[in-house]
Amino acid sequence: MKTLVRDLAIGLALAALLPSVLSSSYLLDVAAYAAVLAIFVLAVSVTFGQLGYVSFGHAAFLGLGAYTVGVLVAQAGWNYWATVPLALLPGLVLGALLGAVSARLSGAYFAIATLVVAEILVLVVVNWVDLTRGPMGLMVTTPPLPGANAVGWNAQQGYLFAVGAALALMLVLLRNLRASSTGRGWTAIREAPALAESLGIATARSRVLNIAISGAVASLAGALLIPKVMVLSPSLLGVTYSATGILGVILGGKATLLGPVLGGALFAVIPEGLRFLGDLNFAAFALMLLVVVRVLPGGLVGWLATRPPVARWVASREQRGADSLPEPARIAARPHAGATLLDVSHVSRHFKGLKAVQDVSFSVRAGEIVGLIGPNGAGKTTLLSMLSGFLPVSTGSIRALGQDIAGLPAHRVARLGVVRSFQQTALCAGQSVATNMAIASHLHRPPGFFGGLLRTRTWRARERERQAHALGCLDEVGLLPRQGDLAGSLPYGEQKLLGVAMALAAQPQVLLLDEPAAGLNQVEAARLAQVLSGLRDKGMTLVVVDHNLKMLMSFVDRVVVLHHGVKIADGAPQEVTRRPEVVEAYLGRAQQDRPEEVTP
Amino acid sequence: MTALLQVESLSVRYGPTRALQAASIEVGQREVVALVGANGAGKSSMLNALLGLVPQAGGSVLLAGRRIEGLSTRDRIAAGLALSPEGRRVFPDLSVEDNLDLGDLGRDLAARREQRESVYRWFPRLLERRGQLAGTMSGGRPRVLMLDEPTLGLAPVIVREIANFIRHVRSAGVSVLIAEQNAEMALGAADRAYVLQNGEVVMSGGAREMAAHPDVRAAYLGL
Repeated sequence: MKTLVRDLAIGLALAALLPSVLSSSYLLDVAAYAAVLAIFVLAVSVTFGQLGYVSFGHAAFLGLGAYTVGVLVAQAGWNYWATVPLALLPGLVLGALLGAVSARLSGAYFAIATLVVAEILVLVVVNWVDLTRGPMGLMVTTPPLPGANAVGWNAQQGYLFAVGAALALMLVLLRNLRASSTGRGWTAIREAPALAESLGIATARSRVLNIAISGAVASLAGALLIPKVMVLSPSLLGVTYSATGILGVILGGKATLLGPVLGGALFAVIPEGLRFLGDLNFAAFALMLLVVVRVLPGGLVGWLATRPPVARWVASREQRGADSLPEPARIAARPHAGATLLDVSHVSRHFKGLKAVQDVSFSVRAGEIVGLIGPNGAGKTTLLSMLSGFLPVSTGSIRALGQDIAGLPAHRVARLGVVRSFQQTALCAGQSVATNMAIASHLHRPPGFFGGLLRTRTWRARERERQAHALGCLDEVGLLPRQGDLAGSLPYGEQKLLGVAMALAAQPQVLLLDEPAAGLNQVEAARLAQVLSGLRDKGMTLVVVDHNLKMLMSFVDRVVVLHHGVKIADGAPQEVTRRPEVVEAYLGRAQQDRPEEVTP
Repeated sequence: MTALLQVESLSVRYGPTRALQAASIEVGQREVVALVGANGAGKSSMLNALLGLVPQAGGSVLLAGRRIEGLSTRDRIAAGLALSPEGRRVFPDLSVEDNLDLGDLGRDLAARREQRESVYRWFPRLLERRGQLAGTMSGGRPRVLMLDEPTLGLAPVIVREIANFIRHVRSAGVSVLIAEQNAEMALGAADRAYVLQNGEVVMSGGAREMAAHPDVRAAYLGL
């Protein structure tokens, strides 16, 4: 809260500075337009930059905000400045609707959905002449900002202050969201949606929230555009603004917060600066954009961040951040709950004609470590996916911690306490190890949306606890020294270990691990086995799929063997691996050379 | 006599991190050579740099006496290097057959079909890695086949199949350079081996002697 007030005060001071030093009507106009576009591009960057969803129709939100406020002022006689904050609402609602409808659409389909919404709104505005005056345009007169006169500002200076203040407010709030569990959830959805779901992040709801917030901010930008354009026309909802949104984000730098602000502002300033070129100014601007995209893939801010002085400054800040991290918190010992945690009863799974898992039954008791083995293609991963709610069963039932998980989405199963890791490394490759752990510790005392938005004292205290917990889990697998590295740059084996640490951070009671030792040598695997058996004392129950039998046999209590989707053995490790059918299907008989010669 | 593949003081850097520091290795004609080392020792960096997938910071690479470190990846493949990369790298949305064909672009249809059939004979139940290995192999005959963790995530019965495959490849006149966490399998299949540690070659010798060396046994075989 304290930092929020401080940052807002700095923002307001900056917003007040510009109108106090500028007096030229032309410069005031350009500056205000730059600030409005900065807000708009910032809004686009919430979906495009953070969630990774491209929108071709963000002008829909901009126009909706402008027309809502415009109609209320021009037709109903409301006061403009009192109505502006209300502009957040229509964008929020439209964003939520669009998000809810298209939450399951991905990539290109979402982009098209936004385009369609924008076109529909254009039709509404053009045809509802009584309300919007259609193509003739709606004239909206705005009074000067209340109190502007008292400090000696004219109407334009007051307007510039208002948009500057709004920009500062949005910037601070969106920065806070970005660094909170909400923003980290978006990053996870962008980089690895299945992983996000496995860690208990409600991906569908999180997407809807993202699009709603983006819509609200874009809508506010639309309302703030009114004093600049004075006459609202359907072109506000058109392709030009939508394109400005996307290009501004790319120009400024997609992965950053300040990039979109800079990009938006440049979209107002550069065409003005190129006026001396006459009619060629837009062509020249387009060319500049192309060059920037080609030469600076990270955008302007991405490029700035790689300059040595800036990079040093960022590194020193990160170092300070790392120095102030809490001590890693050991995972505390916990008693085991209940008797039978997983009860798999006559479960089958068919993919069209293929029977991947057939009539498998077994149960896992609290505190047990069960190994699941079988040849490649035996159905082990399919079974794990059903246990964690990623795949529905075709027939049969699964009870986890006493509850039937049929129909529960994966993130609910994770919240119940059944967390899986993935066979293919699943992590946010473009993020640091520490960020991955921050994402994974999502379920550790979730502090809520508003806590993160406002950075309340409780939020910060919980954030610190969460960090300690995340570091503890990282330490558990021995990756603490790697926390500053990019997750994608780790060798395969360490990526798998990070996957285990991330699953741990989601505080499971039952941990389902898919080939955690793949890519580890015998010594590293033996160390992992120690870690995993240590987790039992911390209240965890494990089901482990792996092909490293030497490791598996050293710490599991029981082995279940699958072959062609059928359970062929279930029992103590030493006994099971002696059975002839297991030896034949999985271990292979004595070395046999192939007689046949082929040309490689 | 010079080796078929001769690598002299090869270095690889990722920003400030040194992944490989002046590592020198040799692979002879019809020889299977294993790279053994912990996670992050530089095994994958070595293979990727040899194919030009990551930039090399120093050193020279000779293939059959010809310097290739200046060539593009494409030209290195044409010169006779082939790599089956680490992890489960196949094109998951394509059929097994399409994956095989991708390893074999640019050859005529009949040759491709024949090749595919021989691959199917070798890997009767094509799945995942075997498909990947096969895809690499189906691209004409390389002189040096590089395998990055070929046994990762495979059941013991198939690990054996891979070991047999490596022997077979050698008997067909191809040299093999294999990076493997499963040191037991790698040392079993190889003629010679190098141990990498923190990007440096710290030990080298015959695979059998290495497997018997107390340091190797303690550090990589867990014995």
